[in-house]
Amino acid sequence: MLLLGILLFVLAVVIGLPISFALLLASAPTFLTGDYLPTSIAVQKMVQVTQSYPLMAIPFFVLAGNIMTESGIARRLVDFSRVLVGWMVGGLAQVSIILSLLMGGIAGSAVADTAMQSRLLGGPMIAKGYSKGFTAGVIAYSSIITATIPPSIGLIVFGFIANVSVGKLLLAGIIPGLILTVALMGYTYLAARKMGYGAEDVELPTWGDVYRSGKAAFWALMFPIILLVGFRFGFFTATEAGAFVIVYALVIGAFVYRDLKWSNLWSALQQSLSDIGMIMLIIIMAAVLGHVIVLEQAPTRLASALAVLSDDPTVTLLLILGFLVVAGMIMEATVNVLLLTPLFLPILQAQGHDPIHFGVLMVTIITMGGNTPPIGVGMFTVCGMLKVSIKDYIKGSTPFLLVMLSAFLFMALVPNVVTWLPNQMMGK
Amino acid sequence: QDYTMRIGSVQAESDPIIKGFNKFKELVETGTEGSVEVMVYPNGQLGNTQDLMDQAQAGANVAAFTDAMRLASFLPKFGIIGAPYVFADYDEADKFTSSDEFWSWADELKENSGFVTLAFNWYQGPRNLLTNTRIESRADVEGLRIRTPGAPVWVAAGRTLGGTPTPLDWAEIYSAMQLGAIDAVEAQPAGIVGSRFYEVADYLTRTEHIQLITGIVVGETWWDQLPSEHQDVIRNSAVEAGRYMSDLVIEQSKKDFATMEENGMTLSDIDLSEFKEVAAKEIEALDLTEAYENVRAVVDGD
Amino acid sequence: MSLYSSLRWAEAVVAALVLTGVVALVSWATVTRYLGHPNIWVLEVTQVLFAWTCLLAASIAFRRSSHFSVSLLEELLPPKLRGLLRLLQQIVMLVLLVVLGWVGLDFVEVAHRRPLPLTGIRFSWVAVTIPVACMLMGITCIENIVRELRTPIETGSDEETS
Ligand code: NA
Ligand code: NA
Repeated sequence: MLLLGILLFVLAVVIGLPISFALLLASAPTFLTGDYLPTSIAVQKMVQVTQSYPLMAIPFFVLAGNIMTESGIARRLVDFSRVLVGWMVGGLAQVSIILSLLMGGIAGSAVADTAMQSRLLGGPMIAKGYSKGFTAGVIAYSSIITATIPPSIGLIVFGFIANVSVGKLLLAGIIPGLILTVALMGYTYLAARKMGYGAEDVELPTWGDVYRSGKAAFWALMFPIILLVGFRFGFFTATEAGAFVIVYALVIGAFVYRDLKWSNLWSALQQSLSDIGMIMLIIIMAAVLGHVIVLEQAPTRLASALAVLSDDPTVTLLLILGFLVVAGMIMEATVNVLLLTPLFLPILQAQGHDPIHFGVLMVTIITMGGNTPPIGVGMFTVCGMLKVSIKDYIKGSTPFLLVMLSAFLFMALVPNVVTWLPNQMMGK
Repeated sequence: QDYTMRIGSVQAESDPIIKGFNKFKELVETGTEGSVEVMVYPNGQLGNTQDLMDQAQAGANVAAFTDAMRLASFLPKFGIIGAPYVFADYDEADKFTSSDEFWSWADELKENSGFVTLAFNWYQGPRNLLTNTRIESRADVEGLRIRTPGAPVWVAAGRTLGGTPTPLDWAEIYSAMQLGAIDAVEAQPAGIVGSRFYEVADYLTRTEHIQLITGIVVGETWWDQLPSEHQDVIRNSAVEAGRYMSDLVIEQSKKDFATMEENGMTLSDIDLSEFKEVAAKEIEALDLTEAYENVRAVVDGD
Repeated sequence: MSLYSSLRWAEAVVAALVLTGVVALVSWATVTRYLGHPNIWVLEVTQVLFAWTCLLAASIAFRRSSHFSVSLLEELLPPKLRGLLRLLQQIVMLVLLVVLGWVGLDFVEVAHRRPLPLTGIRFSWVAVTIPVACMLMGITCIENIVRELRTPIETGSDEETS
């Protein structure tokens, strides 16, 4: 049934059905012919998605991105970064990476970050001549940093399932997050120089220029900082932070910058609804397909085939991580962590691997899978919002994928970069 | 085999709950001579509790593992099973949920909801209070924002402790406790250790306000097509496996408390009389006084 | 105003209100909790509204054709056949929506038996979003099919003669 499902999925994509409908069609055979499942359970799986509290972060950050765009906050942010890094090549792309690092402290979800930045930075980048594929690539891949910087919902889920210290896991994510940041910025610099992106003002900015545009963008620059402070002092939780960004953007846009009018607000709302509908329908339908994949026991069968392959700890780790890359390409992140952790962790621990090390790698790799074909909510989100074709996306984003895979390989072979910080702070 | 029953929960293979399911499987399959097969799904493979309850209600051959508060939406008096200071320990709870009085409630529940109760003596341990400040009397809890699940009986339990009940998604508790968005959590030992709350809370006060007792339900559509001799075997097996599982939990709880202490938590006892007084008022406010008296009559009688 | 455009208008207004409501309620819950007076029912109401946000938004996106798709075949086909392909897409989607909407009604029946614990709101208020969204998107499908059938006759007649 799964095979028939895959066939239907491909067929639906080829004739040009929306991805959400293709996902629905792919799970239809199992539900319509299943021996025990009442068909209405497919609907229950859909409804259950809309009852997931952490998922609310997605609409929040989408709306925040649109309001910031409509209220002049985004424009000031872009102006300021132009002055600051405009002489540098690839300035706006670097802004996207740094912003993900900062937002990682609040937005626990990579898709929410991708959705917000598509609206906030995607448009300006394309307008400045960045290719669509590159723009989509940098926005999507830099959002993976949010999965490593605390609080990462993925790491918390892993901690519960693997029964390891969540505190240690969260600390362990910090250095990998910084490594990914540096690696992505390095590639962005080289690529942007080669393609001549950014670098519109040849001369270095004067302190006066920096001060003036910095002052104009002050409230825009404060938003990640205020959020970070509000979160650290227990004012709101990771999900609620999203709602707070909206309130902040509304207040600044309407009363400080006075660029936000009722008509802007209305169009921000309508644009957001259209974005939210596109993203959420994909997530809803992917949840149904995820359930089908579980029912057909596909991951269990594959994983047990893999488990017997090697006695060498390093080879086993690399094989399993490779498997995770593939699994991430197909299945949704939380489902992957829930299902695969209990299968792989015992094997690795028996061979002497540290669960903290594995956890950080696993969660990051699985999250990255959301950016890769054939199924990836992050990819569908950025491509749908910026109207980028999959072909352009693959062309523009594959280098980012390769950079990230090299960073993972490094972290896999040198476990200390992951485990050093938590062991220093919390003991072995 | 002629019938298949699927049972699942979010816990891992090593958890007493899954061990209890495996015991149940063994008892049912021997008892029906293989005519009823039980398939056990750990790690939330079939979905979460609410998913499974919906599936059972929709007619799937799925059994859900659920607490009394969820069922109280269909039959309010079921809530008393999870209300504060009703049972002193597991034996009292087991005595009530094995009584004829309880099984007549189960029949009413079936009428109202379509859920057939197989057993309701699966113990998960006492719920205790976790904070970052030392608690010596009920007054120390006043003003603390305490996370409780969102159901009336749970909320009443939070008030009984003296705190301000605050609903929050389970996944957000850890960081909310760490950063101070909430001040207190209440949970059973396995929940505390499983979610590593000892990393974000310094004190455990043994309030034992709820003896968390859970059960197994299936949907009537599926149940009614089983031959009655199979039904008897399944029910008896569920009750027996429940006792087996509860013993494991009681053993495991001792280890869990030790784990908390090893990780730097301070565990302390507290005088319960003040809490019990408030509990009686909360039960009255929930309109559960009659149910409470029925329960106590069964437990105190012989 | 035609029936279709007033429907579209109502949908846009309701969806905007519901989304605003979710943001307002979550902010309200945050502030009141911080001040030490948390609202216990807010979470439940928010989740009901969140379901409506998602599904009404899905319909709005559908109307704007912003659901993400891969236009591989359409680019390869000669212009004459493109209209036919679009027609096929709409028909397949309409069938899927009708089936899903129908199955969705079954689930509404199950969900209606379950009240949410604090507010007593029936879960069917959440479940019904699926059939409603199917209906709204189905109407858009029919609208698209009608438009496709009306547009330049020569495409259709070319098909039949060649
Ligand atoms: Na980014
Ligand atoms: Na993917």
